[in-house]
Amino acid sequence: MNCREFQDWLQQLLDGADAPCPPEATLHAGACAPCRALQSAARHLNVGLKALPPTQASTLLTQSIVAAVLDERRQRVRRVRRRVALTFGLAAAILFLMLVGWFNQAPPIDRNKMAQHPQQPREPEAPQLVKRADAARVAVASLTGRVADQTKEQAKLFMAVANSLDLPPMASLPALKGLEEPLDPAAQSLRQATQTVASGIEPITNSARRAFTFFVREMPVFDLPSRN
Amino acid sequence: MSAEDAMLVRRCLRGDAASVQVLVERFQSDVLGLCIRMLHHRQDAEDVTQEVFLRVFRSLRRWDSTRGHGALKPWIMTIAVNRCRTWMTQRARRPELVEYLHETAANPPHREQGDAAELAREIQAALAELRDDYRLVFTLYHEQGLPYEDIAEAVHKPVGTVKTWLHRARLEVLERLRRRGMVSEVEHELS
Repeated sequence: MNCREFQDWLQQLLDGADAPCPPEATLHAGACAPCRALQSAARHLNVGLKALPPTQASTLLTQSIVAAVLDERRQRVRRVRRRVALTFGLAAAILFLMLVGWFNQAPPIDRNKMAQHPQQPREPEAPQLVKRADAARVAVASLTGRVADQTKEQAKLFMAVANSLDLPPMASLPALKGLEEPLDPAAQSLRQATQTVASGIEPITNSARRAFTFFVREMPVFDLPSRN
Repeated sequence: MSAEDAMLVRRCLRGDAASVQVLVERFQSDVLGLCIRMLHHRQDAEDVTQEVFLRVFRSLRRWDSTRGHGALKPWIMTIAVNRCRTWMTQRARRPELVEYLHETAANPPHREQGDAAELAREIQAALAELRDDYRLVFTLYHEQGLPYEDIAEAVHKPVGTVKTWLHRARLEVLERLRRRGMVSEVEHELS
């Protein structure tokens, strides 16, 4: 037996093998001092291991552990109950919403009725700008109509007054000589100035007239509200 | 024992507080002993023991009585090993002044116990010097009495690795005992 085999046998001894010491081991231990020391130490180790004091747990520790375990169990049960209640509550709420939705839903569409009464396509709503233009047009028309009515009334009144007067015919009236006579120089210069101004303004007035004509032509025809 | 464990677990799962206390009392010394051996700190060991039992009861439904030998202890010790490792990792990350209370100092043996007690103290000191993996398998084997297969499952290593670690751990402890003069030269000669 060599040192390695001796150590293996020693390990078996420490494992608790109850075999008697073989003669080869005794022989090797007698010859090898380190192995003999190991064998002696192993014997002491066995004795010492049996003499190791057992670990004593205090009663306080036991109570603390039991209390902690029971407390955790109670919390877990409470947590599970809460979770179950929450789950049932959610399920009930979803079911309630589904029932409400099912009772409030629109009646089913009858396709036969749809075929008999096809829906008329709706006209598209007029844009907001067109509505405003229409309103402006009505306002302008009413204003114009009011002025025209007043002018017409005044003309009627004037005609009635004129008809009631006994006036001579226009041909019999004397000619206004003063108007045919040439004006004095001051008056002439004033007339020239007036004509100059008028000729200067004329392009502007022409443009304004054209613009107004264009505006009137482009405006849609509308019915004036009748007064009578 | 396995049938008894299964019955105890069933009663605990039904919410029997007395059974919870029985289970805690049955295994708390083993768990606390392992934690003290691994953490070298009584207060930390008690905290970890409480965590271990909280986890045990949290996952008690997952305990498979048909697995292994059907005993509850290896399963609980596996949880304890995992918690100790996690605790040690966390403690290594936060370097703070921790006053380690070795069991030898905390529970001094009585003088009249003589050489055996002194030997036990030396063994505890030797275990404290071992690296964590060696100390773990040594404690699980020699102090908790778990077989190789259960230790392998607890430390998540093959049985061969566990045997190797235990072999080296023993050699280191034996060497320390010899170095500390616990083995007399006369005895060497006589044996």
